Amino acid sequence: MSEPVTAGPVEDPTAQPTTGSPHVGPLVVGVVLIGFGLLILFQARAIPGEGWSPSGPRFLPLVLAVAWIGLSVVYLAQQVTAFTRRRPMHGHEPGARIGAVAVLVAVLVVYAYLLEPIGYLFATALFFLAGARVLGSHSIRRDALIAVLLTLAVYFAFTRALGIHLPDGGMVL
Amino acid sequence: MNVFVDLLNGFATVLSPANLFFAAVGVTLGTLVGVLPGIGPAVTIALLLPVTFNFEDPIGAFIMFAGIYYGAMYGGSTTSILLNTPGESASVATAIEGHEMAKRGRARSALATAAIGSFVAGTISTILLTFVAQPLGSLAVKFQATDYFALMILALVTVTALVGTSLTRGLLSLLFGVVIGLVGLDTLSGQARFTLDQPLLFDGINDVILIIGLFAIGETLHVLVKGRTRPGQVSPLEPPHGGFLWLNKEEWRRSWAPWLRGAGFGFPFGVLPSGGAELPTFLSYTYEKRRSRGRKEFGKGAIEGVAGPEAANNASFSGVLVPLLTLGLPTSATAAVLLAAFQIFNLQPGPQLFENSSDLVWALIASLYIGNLLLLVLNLPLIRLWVKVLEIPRPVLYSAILVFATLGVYSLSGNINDVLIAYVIGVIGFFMRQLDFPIAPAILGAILGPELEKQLRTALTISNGDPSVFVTRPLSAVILALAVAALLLPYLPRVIARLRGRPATTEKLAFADED
Repeated sequence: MSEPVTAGPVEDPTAQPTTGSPHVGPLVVGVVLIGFGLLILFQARAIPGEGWSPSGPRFLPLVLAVAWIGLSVVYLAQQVTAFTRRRPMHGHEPGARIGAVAVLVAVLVVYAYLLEPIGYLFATALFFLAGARVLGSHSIRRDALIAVLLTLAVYFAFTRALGIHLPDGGMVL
Repeated sequence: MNVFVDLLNGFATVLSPANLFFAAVGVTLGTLVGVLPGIGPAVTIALLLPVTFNFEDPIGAFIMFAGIYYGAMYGGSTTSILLNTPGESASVATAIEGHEMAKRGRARSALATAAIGSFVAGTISTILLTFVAQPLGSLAVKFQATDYFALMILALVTVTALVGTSLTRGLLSLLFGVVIGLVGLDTLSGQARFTLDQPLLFDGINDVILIIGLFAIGETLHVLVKGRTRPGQVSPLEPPHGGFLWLNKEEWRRSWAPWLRGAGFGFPFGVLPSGGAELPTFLSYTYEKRRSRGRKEFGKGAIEGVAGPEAANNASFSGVLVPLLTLGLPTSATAAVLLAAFQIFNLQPGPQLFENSSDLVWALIASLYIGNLLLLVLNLPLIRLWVKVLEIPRPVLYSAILVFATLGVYSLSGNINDVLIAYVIGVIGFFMRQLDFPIAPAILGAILGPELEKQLRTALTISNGDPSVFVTRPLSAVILALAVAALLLPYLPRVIARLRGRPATTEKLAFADED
């Protein structure tokens, strides 16, 4: 994702993407990437079979793991260089609203776990209210109205018009 | 002459009331979702995939997808013009000139030149597709495993090299996709790979889960952090100012040539594995900015800057369908989603598709003509409705996106674990956006990775394990050489600048990621 797409008002697309200030985030990511590389390397070694024949099931996973680790090291090196030279690099510091993202993800997970026990209708209406709130809505009455209408509309569209089963949680409309 | 008969049969299929209804629903739904900032055609189709799960006839589904695609594209340009936040990266140029036009009270002209230009270029490129696809399909029958392997490498490498600002990040994104694609039981040996010994991963991670996770969920989380959940300033739509189809004589005169040039940029670059619509829209914008009659107005709302890129944008889609339909090779994120849609109906695009499912292919091509026309007929008169959609509070819209994403994944398998996997992938997609990792290579990697491995193994089995087959067969060797060239191409401006003794100003040629 380059900046021209994600920024609000856009500039000339022929201009280079704008840059942020140096920060620690990408360094941590570099280390995580190397860790992930080691994980897939171990996973590749764990695939049962003899040798690393290119026509066998272990060859491509090994190539992927080695290439991944190599690229992650390059990435980390680039980030370290940028950090030490205090040169702005691409990427954005997650910022203050990262907490809101964590809350939204938590709300999503709760939604997924509630979907089957309490049924689609209640779970979706509740999620809609909570989700809109986390996303910055302050009008609970309006959201509640939309939540009910949207949930019902989607329910009938999916189950009646499209024939897709949605969990009813014991309540059948 | 066969082409005409086939195409007429395609029209006969599409022009049934039910299929016309699907096309109209597709265009409307596509525009409705496509006007959301940050939500482009690939996400729109991915979110609406579940709608077709219970379709008995794939033809109706694909007619709807064609409509959704065109609708989403047009929805993106509406958002760019009225709100200056492009729905997808191919609309970035439109956002600059189109929004300036809207600020000067020419919003209707900008919307009209975008719509009519899309129609003109879309129709031209669909005509080209009609005549190019079948001959290429019969040529592709002669392709061997080594050629397919080389073609996939070329497609993956060019998209990765062109998209995003860093090759390292692009390649990491690509490899991540391939790793995800390999998760599950190996089809040839039956061995579990990358499953972390979890039986729920033995079936692999469905492409739809990956697409919805990376695009729809990842984008919503990203939007939240960027604070774009607050409503933007929608430019007011001025009262109709006469002229034919909202364009006055002068505007028609300034628009037609950019439309045709846009089609000229869009179709060939769509056919080539260059990542879809970004490169041709960028080239069209640059050309019009330097050469066109209105070049002095650029940056202040030049109609050529909307007409050309929008035409190129639309034309490239029919181009992208050429490698997708004839070779089974997706070269953009949208094409990758369409490939996933084909697989839902157990259809494999490629040379055999024209033989085995020629009804479907020709109905799809005919539906492109119809979708284009419907877009023009529906969207300009309905513009007030789309403006209303832009005014709906964002938290409500993005919550709805998350509900659709969740239901889409859930209806795939009826399994909550799949929904949780989609959320995990969504969080990864969020961090990828935060750290400027392009998304399209990951999607293409996941879809093409397993296929690439299959061709590699087939080629090596045929050659008794001799890897030199990839370079001794001339066609494969040439394609692989092109792939190497594509890796170096983005660095060319810097190398040239060095050779001429000037300090390099740019790091790397880069095009924005699709969606």
